[in-house]
Amino acid sequence: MTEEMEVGIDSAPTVRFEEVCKSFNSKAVLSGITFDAPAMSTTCIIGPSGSGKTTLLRCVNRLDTPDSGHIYLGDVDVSAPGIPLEQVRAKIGMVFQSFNLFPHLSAADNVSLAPRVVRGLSAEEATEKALALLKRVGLLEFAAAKPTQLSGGQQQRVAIARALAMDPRLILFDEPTSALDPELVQEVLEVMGELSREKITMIVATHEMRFARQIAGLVVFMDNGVVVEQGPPAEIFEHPKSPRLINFLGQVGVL
Amino acid sequence: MGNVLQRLGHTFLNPQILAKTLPTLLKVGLPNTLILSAGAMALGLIVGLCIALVLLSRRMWLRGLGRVYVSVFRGVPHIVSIYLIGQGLPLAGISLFGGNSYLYAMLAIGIVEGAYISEILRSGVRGIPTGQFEASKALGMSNAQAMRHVIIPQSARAILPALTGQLNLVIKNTALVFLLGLQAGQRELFAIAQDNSSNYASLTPLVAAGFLYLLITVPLSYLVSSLDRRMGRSAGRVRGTSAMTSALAGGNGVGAGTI
Ligand SMILES: Nc1ncnc2c1ncn2[C@@H]1O[C@H](COP(=O)(O)OP(=O)(O)O)[C@@H](O)[C@H]1O
Ligand SMILES: [Mg+2]
Repeated sequence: MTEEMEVGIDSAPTVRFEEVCKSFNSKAVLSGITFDAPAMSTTCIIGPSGSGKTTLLRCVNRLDTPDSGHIYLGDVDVSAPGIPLEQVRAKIGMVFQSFNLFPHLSAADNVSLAPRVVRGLSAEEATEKALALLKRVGLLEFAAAKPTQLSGGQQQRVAIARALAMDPRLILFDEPTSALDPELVQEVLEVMGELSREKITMIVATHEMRFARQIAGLVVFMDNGVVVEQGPPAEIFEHPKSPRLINFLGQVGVL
Repeated sequence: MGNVLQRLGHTFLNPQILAKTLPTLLKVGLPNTLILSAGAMALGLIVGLCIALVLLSRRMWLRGLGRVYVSVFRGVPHIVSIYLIGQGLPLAGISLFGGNSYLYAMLAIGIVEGAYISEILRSGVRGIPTGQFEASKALGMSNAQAMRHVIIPQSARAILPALTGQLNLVIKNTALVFLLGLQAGQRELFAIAQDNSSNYASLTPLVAAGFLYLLITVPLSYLVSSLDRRMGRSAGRVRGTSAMTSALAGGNGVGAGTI
């Protein structure tokens, strides 16, 4: 480990978005996103595709960098230039729409790789941890399986275990069930619901309105790069105010 | 009729000439060819790795420089590059190795091979879906860690066969070093065969040299295909097969260049 500045992120940080802007090729994708995702709670981001959900999540762990504005994890401004990216990312889990498991490694090795390589755990410690996490997502008997031998739902559960293996302060989920066959969605949502009950801080971009309604502490509706409406699920789903949200909920069949 | 056969025999396969030249071919030529090949390949790998990193760089001007390097050394006949590097450097006063043509030859071949090898490595890495990089980054891995643990193991299947194929070409290209003039003990297979062929007015030594090249290159080719099959089996169906096919296609295109 190099002797760069050690970033101290709270064990359960509030994630604060302040006027976050981002353009691609001079096309504005995020235009002043501002909201707080509370600690130890699940925040669901909903909105039509192309509204900027993925880009916003990628700005949190700096796979993308905002053009302006700030994102704070607790006291730490992760959007600041010069922040030690690898340290920050090691503390933020991410689950991708397309799983992105490492196809050359077994499920257990997928989970244990980062703890070994990034955190310096011994092979035994890392494997022990990986097996415990695979058990937690109900896949212990698939520890030796390669990703191609697993169903989509199983792959995504391994991906969740892989994110958990770094003991993240926050986990970002980018439409974790959108690539799944309908019958495989539930097993993934169940694991996520479990994490939510364990008070892990999560930000979830999702089209699963039922999940958002049951699990979220806060629902944020984004459209066209702006936060149009935010509030507790009861308010967002029962009493939507803005025409755009009403229209969107109509389209996804909630209203 | 008998006369024609006799002449053919003398030209291509004269037992006495074979007996006289084979010991030198085996004792001097073969080791030198192997040493030159190994040295040029090692150098080519180092150069190729550096150029591959340049080709994958985020800076456009760096990538541009890399492209120029690759285009030049893949586009110019090897014979020209080897003359220019092997004779040019000492002439220009850059005498890294004194008057030792052997090492200049190694350097020249290594520099040229580096261009081919960089393309093999680049296309191998490029073939891996970006999601693999991003998943590694998201877990806190550095570039080097992502490369070592995630990207390179997956691109090995595309890279290794093409790389071994390139080694075959290096072995054959070492024949070009005779151009630079070698001392007796430094001569490789082709130089010895050529000297003896003109001495004895028979091509027998060249035929023998040809067989010795085959003795190295054919097993190497078999090694490549068995390696490929073995990795194919262990890798199973790897997601993002486009990666491999494009890298292999690139590899073939890359490997196609000799003089
Ligand atoms: N790397 C990129 N380059 C160019 N445009 C991009 C890039 N990433 C996203 N976009 C554009 O940004 C917009 C928002 O995309 P995204 O954040 O993926 O939205 P969502 O996840 O809500 O569907 C889309 O119009 C998309 O085409
Ligand atoms: Mg998206």
